[in-house]
Amino acid sequence: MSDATTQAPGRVLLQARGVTKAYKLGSTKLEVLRGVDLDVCEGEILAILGKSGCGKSTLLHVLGWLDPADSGSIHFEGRDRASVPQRERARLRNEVMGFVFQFYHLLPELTALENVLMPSMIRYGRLAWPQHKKAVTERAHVLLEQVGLKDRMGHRPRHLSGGERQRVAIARALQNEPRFLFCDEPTGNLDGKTADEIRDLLWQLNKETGQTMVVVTHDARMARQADRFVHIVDGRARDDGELDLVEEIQRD
Amino acid sequence: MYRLFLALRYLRSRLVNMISVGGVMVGVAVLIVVTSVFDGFQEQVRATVRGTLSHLVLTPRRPADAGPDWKQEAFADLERRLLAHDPRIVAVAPQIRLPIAYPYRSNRLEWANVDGLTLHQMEAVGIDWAREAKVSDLKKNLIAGDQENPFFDVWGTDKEKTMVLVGRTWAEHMKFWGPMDFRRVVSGPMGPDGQPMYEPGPPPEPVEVDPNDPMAQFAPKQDPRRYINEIRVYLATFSKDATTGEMRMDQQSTNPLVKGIYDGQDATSEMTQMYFDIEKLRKVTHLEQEYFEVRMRLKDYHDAPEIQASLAKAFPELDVQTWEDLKRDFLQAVETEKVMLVVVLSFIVLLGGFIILATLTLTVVEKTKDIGILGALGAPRAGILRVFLTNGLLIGIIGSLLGLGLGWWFVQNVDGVRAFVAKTTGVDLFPANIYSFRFIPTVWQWGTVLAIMGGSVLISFLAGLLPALRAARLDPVKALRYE
Repeated sequence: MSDATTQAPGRVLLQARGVTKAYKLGSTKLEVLRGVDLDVCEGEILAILGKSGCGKSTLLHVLGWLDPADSGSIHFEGRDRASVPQRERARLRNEVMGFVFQFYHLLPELTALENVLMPSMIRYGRLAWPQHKKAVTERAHVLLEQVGLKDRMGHRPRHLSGGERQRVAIARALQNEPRFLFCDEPTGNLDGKTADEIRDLLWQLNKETGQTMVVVTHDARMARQADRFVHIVDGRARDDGELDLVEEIQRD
Repeated sequence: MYRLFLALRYLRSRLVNMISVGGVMVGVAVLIVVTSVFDGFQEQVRATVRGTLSHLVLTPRRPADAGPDWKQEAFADLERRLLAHDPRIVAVAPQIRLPIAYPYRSNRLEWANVDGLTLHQMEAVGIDWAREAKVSDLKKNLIAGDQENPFFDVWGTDKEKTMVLVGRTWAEHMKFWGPMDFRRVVSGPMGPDGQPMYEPGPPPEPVEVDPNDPMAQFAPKQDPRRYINEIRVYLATFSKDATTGEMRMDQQSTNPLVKGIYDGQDATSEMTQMYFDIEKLRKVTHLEQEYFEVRMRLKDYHDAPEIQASLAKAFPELDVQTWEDLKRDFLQAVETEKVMLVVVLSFIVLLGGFIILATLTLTVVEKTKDIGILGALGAPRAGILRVFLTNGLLIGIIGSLLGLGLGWWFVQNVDGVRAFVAKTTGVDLFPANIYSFRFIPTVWQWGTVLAIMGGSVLISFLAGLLPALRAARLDPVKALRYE
């Protein structure tokens, strides 16, 4: 069976072709991705499903240009990762992409508000900061309010619950108004009710602002609500599976 | 913007960083204090030595084709010729120098110690007061005696007597201080003839003298009328027998009156130099020669090398030396001591650098995840490098500024600190008998202070470089992957 090449309507923002990635563990080579082909279109929510350890987080990192692929190409808005210098990639990550991680990854020394402001601080240098400070601080306030943390802005991450931390992380990912949001198991570490809230929040944001989202998850319920899903099997992306089947696979 | 923000936040949140700051602070403060005290010491020593030595010292050299009268030829009209040589020469003064011995009581076992009596080797310096006062600080340094003319024969009864000025340290050491009272003589009213008029004070306490004491015959004699003490010194001179032409060494003694005490701020010269009236010293020792060397004061010491060179050319029969030439070894020793101390103490700052290296390396390891997050949020490698460089730099800058404050306070209160240490521990940090100053001299040189601070900041920066590079090389994904 040949690998499925996902075709979807709308402008293709992100295009992966023949992506491979392997890790060396001692003397053995662990092939995680074995030629992934994937398209992500503007405004859609794409869920990437897979068993834990199947390489879906690795795929997300590769798609988000955090990690280079061993072979194959990742075109983001028509530009190949390999042809974009490090500093420019950093700028794109800062201004165009947002990341939400399973383990929140907030900076522990900073308050919730400062964490949300961090992408803006990185965006504007010392000289440009004063003229943007007011606007970006206002935006951070609005975002934190939107995710329901109006009263928690001055709290450090260790004084926040898991759900609250993930809300801060989502607000942070949205601070620079990215066109693209990468979510790596955003609800993976949360209990069912909180997970639903976070998912609803993400979906709502997608509806309101039209961000393109790639959500990595092992949760079929979440995938079911995405516009589209692919699942990772044997290091390849397939979109011909039935969700029920996928759930079955996951149960094994 | 985030770089300074994060660096400050990391600095604040880690206690070890405060230890680094403390290390830099102590290093900077110690270096500032040490250089300041040493510069002050050096300056004070130079001022003191220059004061007692005058600017230039000229000694005649025996020429290879010396005739029998070479000395007379060399000295003929010398002073006038010297003064006429250069208008920048302000004054000249003749000097005679002779070895002398002063018998005193000592319990120490020394080479000439017989029955508790020993000889203290000294130098008799014959000076003409009026001229000497113009070339050196001796007049200013005279703390007891008549500054106008200490050799003045007040009662008209001591025309034939030699007279001396002794050093303060010598007077203290020889227990000469007590029975004398010079204060009366220093500020006496002037008589109608323009000479000072002296009032006798109350008679001093008589000193018990044990007739069986071998020292008795050498002990300073007190004259209740005059408040002046007579001492005895021995001189050795050569003389030529008129008939046989044979050279002889004569041992002579003279009983000079101590007419004044000078405080030269230099324990060594105070212990070993007695100033005699040059004419009387010549008479006692039957010296034909008028003087042996010439002291010279210049309008400005900065001209010394130039005048030294021109004098050497114009007077080939004279050795011309600056006071620095004469004390070169000593001045070099002080300088070397200072450099060595600064080098050794710089290791404290270096140690501070290593503390920074260690703590920052620790911080980078601890912040691996943060570095990954920053990478994901779009911070370029150069930015992450600068977060940690700034951290090291901040430690250096804050430590240096605190060190500046601490050092400044210490230098301002150095004598208070010394008194406090002496009171609490009984240790005198700056014993007067060694350093001959009664206070700790300090000099605040901004150039030196800023160099110390700059060096410390540089070391902190370099210490931060390695951990910062390590942070920048971290792969953000690897840093994020594992929880």
